[in-house]
Amino acid sequence: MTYFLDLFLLSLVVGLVGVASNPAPYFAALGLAVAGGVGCGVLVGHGGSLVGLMLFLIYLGGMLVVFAYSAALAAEPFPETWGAGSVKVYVLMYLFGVGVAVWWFWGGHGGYWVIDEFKEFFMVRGDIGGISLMYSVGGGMLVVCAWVLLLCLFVILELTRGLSRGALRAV
Amino acid sequence: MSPYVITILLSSLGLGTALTFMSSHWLLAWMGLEINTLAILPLMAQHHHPRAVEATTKYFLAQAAAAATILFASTINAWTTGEWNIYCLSHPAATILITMALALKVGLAPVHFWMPPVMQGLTLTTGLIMATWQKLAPFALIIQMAPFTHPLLLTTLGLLSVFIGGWGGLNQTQLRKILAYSSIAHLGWMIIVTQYKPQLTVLVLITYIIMTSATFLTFKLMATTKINTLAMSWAKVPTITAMAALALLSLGGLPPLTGFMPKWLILQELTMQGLPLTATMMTLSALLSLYFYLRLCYAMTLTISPNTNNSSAPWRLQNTQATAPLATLMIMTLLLLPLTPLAQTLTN
Amino acid sequence: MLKILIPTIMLFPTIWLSPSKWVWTTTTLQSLIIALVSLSWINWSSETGWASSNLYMGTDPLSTPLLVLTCWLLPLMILASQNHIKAEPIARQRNYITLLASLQTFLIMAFGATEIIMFYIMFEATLIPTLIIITRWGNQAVRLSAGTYFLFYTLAGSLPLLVALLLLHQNTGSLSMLIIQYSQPMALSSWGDKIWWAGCLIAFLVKMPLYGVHLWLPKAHVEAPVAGSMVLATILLKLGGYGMMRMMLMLDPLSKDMVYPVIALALWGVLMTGSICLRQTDLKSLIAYSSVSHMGLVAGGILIQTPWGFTGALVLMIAHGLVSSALFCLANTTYERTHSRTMILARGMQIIFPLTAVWWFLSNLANLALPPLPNLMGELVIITALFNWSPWTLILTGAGTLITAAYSLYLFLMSQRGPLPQHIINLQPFHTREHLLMILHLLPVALLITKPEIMWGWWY
Repeated sequence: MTYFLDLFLLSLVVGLVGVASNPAPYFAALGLAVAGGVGCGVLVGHGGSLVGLMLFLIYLGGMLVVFAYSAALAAEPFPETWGAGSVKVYVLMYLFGVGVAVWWFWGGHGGYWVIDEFKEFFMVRGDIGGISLMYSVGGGMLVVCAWVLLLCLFVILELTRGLSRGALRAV
Repeated sequence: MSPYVITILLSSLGLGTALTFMSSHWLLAWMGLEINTLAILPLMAQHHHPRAVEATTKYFLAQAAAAATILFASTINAWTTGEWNIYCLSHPAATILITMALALKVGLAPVHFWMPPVMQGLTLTTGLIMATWQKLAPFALIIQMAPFTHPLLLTTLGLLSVFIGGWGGLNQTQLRKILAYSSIAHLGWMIIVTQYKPQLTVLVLITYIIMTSATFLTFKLMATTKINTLAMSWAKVPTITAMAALALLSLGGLPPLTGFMPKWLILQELTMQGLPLTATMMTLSALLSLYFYLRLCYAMTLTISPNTNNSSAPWRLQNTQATAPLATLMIMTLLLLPLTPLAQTLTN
Repeated sequence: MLKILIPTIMLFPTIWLSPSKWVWTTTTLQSLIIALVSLSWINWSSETGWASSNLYMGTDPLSTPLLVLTCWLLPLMILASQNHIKAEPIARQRNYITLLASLQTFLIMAFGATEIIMFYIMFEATLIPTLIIITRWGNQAVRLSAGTYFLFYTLAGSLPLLVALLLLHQNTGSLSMLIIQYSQPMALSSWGDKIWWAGCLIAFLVKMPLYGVHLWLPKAHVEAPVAGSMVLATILLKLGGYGMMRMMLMLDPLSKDMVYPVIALALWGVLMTGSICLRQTDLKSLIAYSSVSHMGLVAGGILIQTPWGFTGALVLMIAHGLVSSALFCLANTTYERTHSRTMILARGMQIIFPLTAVWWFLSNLANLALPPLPNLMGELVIITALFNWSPWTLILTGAGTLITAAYSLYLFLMSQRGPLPQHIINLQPFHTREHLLMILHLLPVALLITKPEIMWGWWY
């Protein structure tokens, strides 16, 4: 399990570096998919199985499909791959940054610990308990969340509706 | 834009600010800020003009970065102290990160760069919302945060803001950019006193909102966005033109007008805290801002016929704007200084 | 206090509600009545010197002459501006008189304030009407830079003053002029205290103006319309002197050592600005520099802090206020006829306007401090006080009076004597209004000879 977690964390870093180093959009979408997937793995590995599952379903299942789709729409004939010159420089730079960070924090120097003092005294796990708590006493918050979804819908429609007049690609 | 959508957007704008106001939990506060940002985006991009789209994008990026930093910092705090409450923010890294993020949100000096171009891309009405309503929610958080933040950080932010707000506006010819820099300078006055007397911050915020609303509405009535069309305004609305010069000087903080009241009380508080040097620097920075307000006064009111104008006369359409709010705000902009004792009582 | 202040405020309805052909008449009349009523302030009788209607407003022998002068000046300003404003639309005429009346309101509150912060606010409040008068009704494009100079010189000095006053308030607990002189003398020794001392005085020294920070004054005077020049020379400069007299009481232990450079600058300024006058070609600029020179003497008199110094300073302020205002009016009458301020273009006026030449003669004699006039009393008292302080100052002050006499004569000879230039062919004759204006300026100067003790200040 520990080796799996290490592999997940390594893939997370590699995936993020892949996105951050400015390749063509579908390489970035791939990097996001990798990072999102192994991120769920990390969560599961630390015991947040419910959160991990939800993230996997919503993020990978929902949003990344859209990402990949729109990235494919914006595809160019000669994409900058991970091997292209400028991308390679970024990759090396970010990996160096990660290396420095690892060297700095190695061995618990300056690290943070989770404070969860009642871990042993709880019948339910934190994430499941939190969700049930939210449904029982956080009703107002749920209403607000639903309103935000509606708002998002309107915002996106409003922002994109002038496409024929060049709204989004106007600049 | 359809009235229903406008209603939804404006009510969400109110909802976001209200949520941040009433929350004691960082997550909810963050949510309020995000709703606020989200709701104003379509209003900003309402006119499909390249500059409006650019402004919207810039605003979205700056606000999203700030909100993400707030979420990140409050998570760090919860992680290390187990506490999500706004009043229990004790981790130094988290406080500094959140203060800087809120500074980015309102546009305080070292992180103010998004603000003038964003203002420049908006209509005057949206710009007014941006300069007034959008400052409320972050300031509610800043006031709650101030006791935990390092005093040096707040003082640095304040001094940098007043000086950059003054210097930045000096070579601008676009009114909205000038007003953006004026907003930065006023934010500096607000932040400098938060740690000593948060009530005064609220007072500055209120007076600033009154004064800047009067100015924005005046410019909207005159339909001008740059200095050289401002020179034609005396022919459109002579009375307002005369008043607007005084309103600008009130923004600059000249004594018999409202703008002097917050400055006076802040200077008093700063000297009472034993910071006369900071107080003197703040007062002298007001001169920088005053210079560009004065330039606007010259262009608008003090050099009119028989001098020649070097801009052509714009179309004059029938005025459809309601003038009652402008009149009220203008009177408040000019004549609130005698209420200083009341303000002092309320802020003690 | 209120019996003057409320009629002054009621000038605004008079200005805006009276029918357009009566605007100038009614406002002149009302302000003249206010001026006459204000003379009753001179009759002070209280033991402490303060006569006050409430806690915040009061008069004492120091502020009374300046208050009366303020009230006296408004009808004169209205009389003087009639000619050049009457061509404008009626709303702008009303606007202009409104500005003058608001200036008087602020000035009365400034001189009448017993709270130093109130004085400060009103001191600053006079900036806005003056700025508008200069930059809106001035004549040339340079007036904008003159307005900027005026505003920024004054504010750069007076904003630190606000901080200094707030510090003082924190130390003494009160800023009321009625009681602050009885407070414990402060032990001032550190560098911070010295900077505080400078902060307390610089604003007033800029307003006076002291030589070295005087550049805004000639610019403002030259560009301002006649009413602006009059009020600047008569009252606004005196705000500086008045403020200094009030502040000097509290600055005591430090002032003895700190004033040397300031006195040196002031006396040197008397000499320098007098010499500048001698080679001026611009009529208004000459009168403006002569104001700087006289105010240098006033600053010297105040800074040595003796009763004689204060009395002389006050007397000179009142006398100079009336006389320099008269000179500006005369310069304006020439300007309105020849449309130029250059002296060489308007010479030999005595031939065409003999009666006006008399006014010029009298005003110039008053300006150079001819014996029975109050100007001489002021100068003599200040010179005596300065001589007592250090005999060497006599070199500077003596040379100063000599130069004053020289440039006053130069002014008179240049403008009135000599042959009439060929290009002057069609000059409008003088109005009765202008003669009346000059009489109203010079009559008080003459009357003050007979009872100078009303402007002796505290030592009457």
